[in-house]
Amino acid sequence: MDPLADGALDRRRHELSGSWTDTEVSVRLSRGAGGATRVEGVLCSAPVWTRWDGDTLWLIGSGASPVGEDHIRVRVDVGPGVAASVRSVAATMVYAARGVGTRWDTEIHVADDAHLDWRPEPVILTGRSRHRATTRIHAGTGSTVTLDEVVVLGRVDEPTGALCSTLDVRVADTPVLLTSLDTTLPGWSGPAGTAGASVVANRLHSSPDGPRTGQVEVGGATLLEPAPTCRVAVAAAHDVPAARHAVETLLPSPGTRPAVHEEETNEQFDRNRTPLASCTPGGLPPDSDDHVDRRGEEVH
Amino acid sequence: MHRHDDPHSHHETADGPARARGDGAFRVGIGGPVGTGKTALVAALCAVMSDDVRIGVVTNDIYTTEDADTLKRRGVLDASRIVAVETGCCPHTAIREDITANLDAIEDLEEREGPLDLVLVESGGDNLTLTFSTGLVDVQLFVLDVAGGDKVPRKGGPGVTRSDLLVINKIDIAHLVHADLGVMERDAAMQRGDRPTVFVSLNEAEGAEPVASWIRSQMARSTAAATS
Repeated sequence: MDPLADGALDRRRHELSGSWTDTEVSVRLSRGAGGATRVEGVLCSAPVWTRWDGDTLWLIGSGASPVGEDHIRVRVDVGPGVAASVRSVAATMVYAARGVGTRWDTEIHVADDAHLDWRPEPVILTGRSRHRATTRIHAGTGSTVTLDEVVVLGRVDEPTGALCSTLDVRVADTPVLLTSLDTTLPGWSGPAGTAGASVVANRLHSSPDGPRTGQVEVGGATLLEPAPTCRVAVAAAHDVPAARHAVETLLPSPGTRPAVHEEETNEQFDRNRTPLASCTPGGLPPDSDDHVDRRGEEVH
Repeated sequence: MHRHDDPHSHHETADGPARARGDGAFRVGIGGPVGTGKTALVAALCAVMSDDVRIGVVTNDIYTTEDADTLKRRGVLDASRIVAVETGCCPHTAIREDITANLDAIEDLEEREGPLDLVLVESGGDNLTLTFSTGLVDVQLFVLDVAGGDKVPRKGGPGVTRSDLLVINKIDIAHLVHADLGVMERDAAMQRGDRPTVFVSLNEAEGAEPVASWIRSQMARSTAAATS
């Protein structure tokens, strides 16, 4: 059959049209026979590809996105008893927005007694970006979830774009954390916000018995405990290694207990503050009602 | 500069690219292989359109400002309305991947020389996969020439298949290089469906008129969509 004939040509024209990217990657990890992890779903849909190496799901950018009005959805389901890591091969660059801006929604479902270690490379907001990001985690009973979000607010000598990033965590269907970083709010970069820091990092740890160092504050990093099974370390720093070091100090990543010299980290981050701020529906171009509804469930 | 103080939206329509008030000048990307006549097309468009359209030009070269210098020497526009981006790497990286340098150049140009009606963004010469980011331009042209061989449209590639207008240049020498324009027309139609293709000779005084006419129609449609 001629691939350009009739309907095929129409479909191809549609695929090749200049409209913005609207795509979804959906990966299911489950236990197969013999204990191996089975990987199914839509593993690649430009601009996001995934690769599974037996232990880790790698997120790979296959195009210059998000840009304009791109809307990207990534969903990962971790089945019962599965232990998996998620990493990315490089940072995600958020390019110039047009219209309503770019959007990236991440939906993570971790089944009962499953384990997920989600620590991708940073998201970098370039100067003309206007980006909305949501990360929703549904963690089952007895599961453990470690998740990093590292945001770089502009490249060197470049002002940051606009960001409203929301982290929404539910454990056993109970809301335990809803927090946002919103750079459209007045004063977000002031002393009560990021205090001029160019990197903001969150590390979430949700588990029945997560790691504890006993510290609740290291320089500009703070450990919050919104629920007995959920802790989040929040850091604002001037570069990515410093931000990562701060959250690692307060919430060690799975399998590690790094030695930390508190005096050094205090000195390193003494000008920073926690970057938590509420995300207002009016802060960015109009969003769905879903966001407003979920604010009613905010847990303090 | 593109501002977003007021809510607005951008949508593709059946009639052409939709824009909103405040989007600034209409942006046209011009790409194609090396030596097919991209700079000549920019010069010719300026010649036939600049009487009634306020035009700015951004050129892209890898290591030089050669194309911008050529346009300035030819006096097709005030030199201040022609700026060059040195990509330092393969041309598509600056028009498709990280478009920041070109956006900087356009915004600086509009701020300094504006308001402008039209900005022509010329890519450095590349291959058949070259496309512009839709975050950078509103419509894009891809320029081929008959000297590259009449089989080139048949080879496809995103430049041939996705461009909003395919321009086949140098038809005046087709007989000298044994290029069959009928074959090129047939293959372009097969690859592009109803996307338009024009055949031009920029050696002729009004050679760019079909391209200029198409750009004017796109500008009118986008303006109509923005004000409706």
